[in-house]
Amino acid sequence: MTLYPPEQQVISNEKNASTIIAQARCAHCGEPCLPNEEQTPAFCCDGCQTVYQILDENNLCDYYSSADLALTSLKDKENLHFEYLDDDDLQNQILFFRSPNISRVRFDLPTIHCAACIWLLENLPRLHEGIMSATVHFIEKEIHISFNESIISLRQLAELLDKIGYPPLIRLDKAQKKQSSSPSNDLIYQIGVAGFAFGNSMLFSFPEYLGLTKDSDPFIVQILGYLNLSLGIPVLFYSAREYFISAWKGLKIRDYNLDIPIVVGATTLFVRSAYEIISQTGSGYMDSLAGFLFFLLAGKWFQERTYKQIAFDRDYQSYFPIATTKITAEGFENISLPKLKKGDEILVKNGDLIPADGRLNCASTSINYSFVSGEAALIPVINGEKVYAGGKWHGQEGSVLLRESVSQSYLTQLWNDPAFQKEENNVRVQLTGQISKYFTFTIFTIAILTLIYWYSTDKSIALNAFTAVLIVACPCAVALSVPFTYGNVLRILGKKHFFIKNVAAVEAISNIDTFVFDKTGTITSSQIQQSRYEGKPLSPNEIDLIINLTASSTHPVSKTIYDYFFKSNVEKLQITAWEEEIGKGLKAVIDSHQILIGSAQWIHVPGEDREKGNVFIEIDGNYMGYLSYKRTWREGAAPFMEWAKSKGETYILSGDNDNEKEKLSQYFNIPIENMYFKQTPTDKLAFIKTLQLKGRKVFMLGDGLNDAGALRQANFGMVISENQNNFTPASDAILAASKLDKLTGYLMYAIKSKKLVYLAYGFALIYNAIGLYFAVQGALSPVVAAILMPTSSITVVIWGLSTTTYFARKL
Amino acid sequence: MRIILVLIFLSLILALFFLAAFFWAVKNGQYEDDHTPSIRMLWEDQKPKDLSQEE
Repeated sequence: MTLYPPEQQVISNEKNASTIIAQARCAHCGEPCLPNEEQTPAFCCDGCQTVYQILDENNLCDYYSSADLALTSLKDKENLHFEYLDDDDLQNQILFFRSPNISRVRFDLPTIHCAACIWLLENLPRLHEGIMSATVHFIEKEIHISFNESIISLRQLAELLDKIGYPPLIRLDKAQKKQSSSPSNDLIYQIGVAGFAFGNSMLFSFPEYLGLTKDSDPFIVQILGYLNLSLGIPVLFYSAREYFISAWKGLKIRDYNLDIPIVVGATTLFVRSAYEIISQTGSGYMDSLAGFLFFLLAGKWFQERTYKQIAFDRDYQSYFPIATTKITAEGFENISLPKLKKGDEILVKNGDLIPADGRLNCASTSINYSFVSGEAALIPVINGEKVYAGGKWHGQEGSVLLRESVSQSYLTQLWNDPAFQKEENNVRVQLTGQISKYFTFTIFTIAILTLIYWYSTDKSIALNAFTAVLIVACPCAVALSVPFTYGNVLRILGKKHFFIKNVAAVEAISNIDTFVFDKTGTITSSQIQQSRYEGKPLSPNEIDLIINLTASSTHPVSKTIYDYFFKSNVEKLQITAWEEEIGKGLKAVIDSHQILIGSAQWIHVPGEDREKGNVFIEIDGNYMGYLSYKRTWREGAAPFMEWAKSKGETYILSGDNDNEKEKLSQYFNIPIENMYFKQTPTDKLAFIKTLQLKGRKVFMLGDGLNDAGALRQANFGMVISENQNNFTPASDAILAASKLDKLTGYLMYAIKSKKLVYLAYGFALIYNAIGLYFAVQGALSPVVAAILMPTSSITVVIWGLSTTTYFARKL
Repeated sequence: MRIILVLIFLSLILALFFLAAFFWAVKNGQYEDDHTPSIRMLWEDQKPKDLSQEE
């Protein structure tokens, strides 16, 4: 499943080399690029060219002949470092099988996105003789590789993958988790056993339903009875095992969950059937037992099938590297992050993430805190200045003297908050919880009243009626309505790029009455848009100069200028003295023209323009003009805000300063007192807590690591993600940014589904009432039970699936 | 009429065989990835042209 539809157009192989030049698109990724006369085909960057060359050398250019591929541009690729993979301890943790000749490893490759990726990756053995086999799991975006460590080391393997455009994402916690056998297989086995018993025992019970009694042939009836009994044993003791465990746990903490009546019903069914079969007084209800467990387990499976490739549980550790390089007296040492201490000095390279707070211990660099604040700007730092965990290093390699350990840093401290200690595996749906409490008590009261009544009137029926009540009241249909209704909602919304964590989160949506929004990156787009050039008209040659200058810079502003001026027939010019000065701009001599692009402190700008422009252009000492740009509101943010206001109170939290206050207030029509600025991640978390103390059910919409605490604390925390490869902090739901305009509909749909669950409960209770009517009279025959129980389950399942699908058609 | 017992046992054995096959398939990982194989089968085996170039 891909989060985002392929949009880029792709150019196929060398045969089209001439067209490539004409269109000037990269032969690897299809991005527009400068045409190149020396080499055909053209490339947008060195990364793409390297990949192409590797593939070409190994006759793997078939990769490019697959149509409809959106390849990944390597232009913005960061250099990853895998030195830490040389560490033996780490290798043992990451490899899940190791021997001198063959080792096996599993890597997450988030950039897998198309059929050609699978083909290329599974042809890895042709790229390197040390690799024996490679198998891709497309949905989970991972690869299993068998390789020979004496020919290719783990580090070299990771570097090879990185080089061809599939940087592996290495997470220790995930590598360890994978080693334990997956628990979901147990559920599948249990369903298999229950289904097998269900089908067969129905067959064995048929003769009786058709009127074969023990008078006609006692031997056959007896044999069929014992066959049914032997089928019932694995169902009760294997398939129903989890229900027994859960019911027992519930009883111990006096939490009367729905599993208690289920277990009582199943046990009663089994004991009574066994008694009837052995004493030859009847044929028992084994088919009903197997049937209802089969449905229950199927419901459980249906609701547990979620998006494996999307992680909802990420904390800062997933953003940070696994290890870093520590500078010691003896030299360099690879050290894993938790082992870093206050006072350690670490080596940081271009593109690395700073793992802990510290002070810069080298001349100067610049740091991008977009991970933390959502703001993509480079901040210059000089020797001795403070740097914070989560910042990305831009510039030559340097060193940082740590002032805190990783977990005590400004950013990571957020995770010490109790909000993150919340028990995660409690996915109980509140609604079922409330109902089950009453349900359990009602059933036991009716059962005991029946027992007392018949004991005083007709002792022979007393036990029969008592057990019948327990059997027929089994809340099978009630237990099925949530998994199938909410489970289907989850699935349908997932197809529409709105991924909800679990069924409990679907329910949480309907209780929301307060909305909190993060500003930067959430309701404003993280990309700079609407750029505009004002000034002297530029000649085509001058535009060429600007494009050539900005093409080689990775600064976000340079990218904006590049995109703004980009045209198809750019002439590649000779660049001589290219220089990027942090916080000032770009300077170079191109084609014997001196060109400067940068801030007003660098370029002489006439008074008026100083205020209007963001970045200024000077060619050969003459001021040309300025480019102004602003961030735009995300499409769909305003209509959603309107809807939110109709549902409850609305607040905006921002980490930025308040200079956009009026504009925000005007655009979204939100009073200024509902907007809070300069909010730290901890402030945001505290704000949500305060609202909740007032009894509010809070919806939080955020995007970055700086919202992580608030997202976790909120009753429903939702993340907007622009790119499927981006990390998103732990949350209850993830929405593709392009679908924000549809969010109102999605949420209304989820709220509506709660009513559908209520109606399903209604059906289930009607069936239970009919069953009880027979049961209290002591007249529940196996046939009635065998018809009533599956029908009620099937009704609820069909209701849940069909209504949710029906209401989804307009989304 | 008792001949039906033979049929019942035969059907039970057959069903047990299917159950065992199901267990085997789950254990073998056949249900773990239901998407990639559908793409994988569309790729050509290594083309003769490539082979000749390699040799």
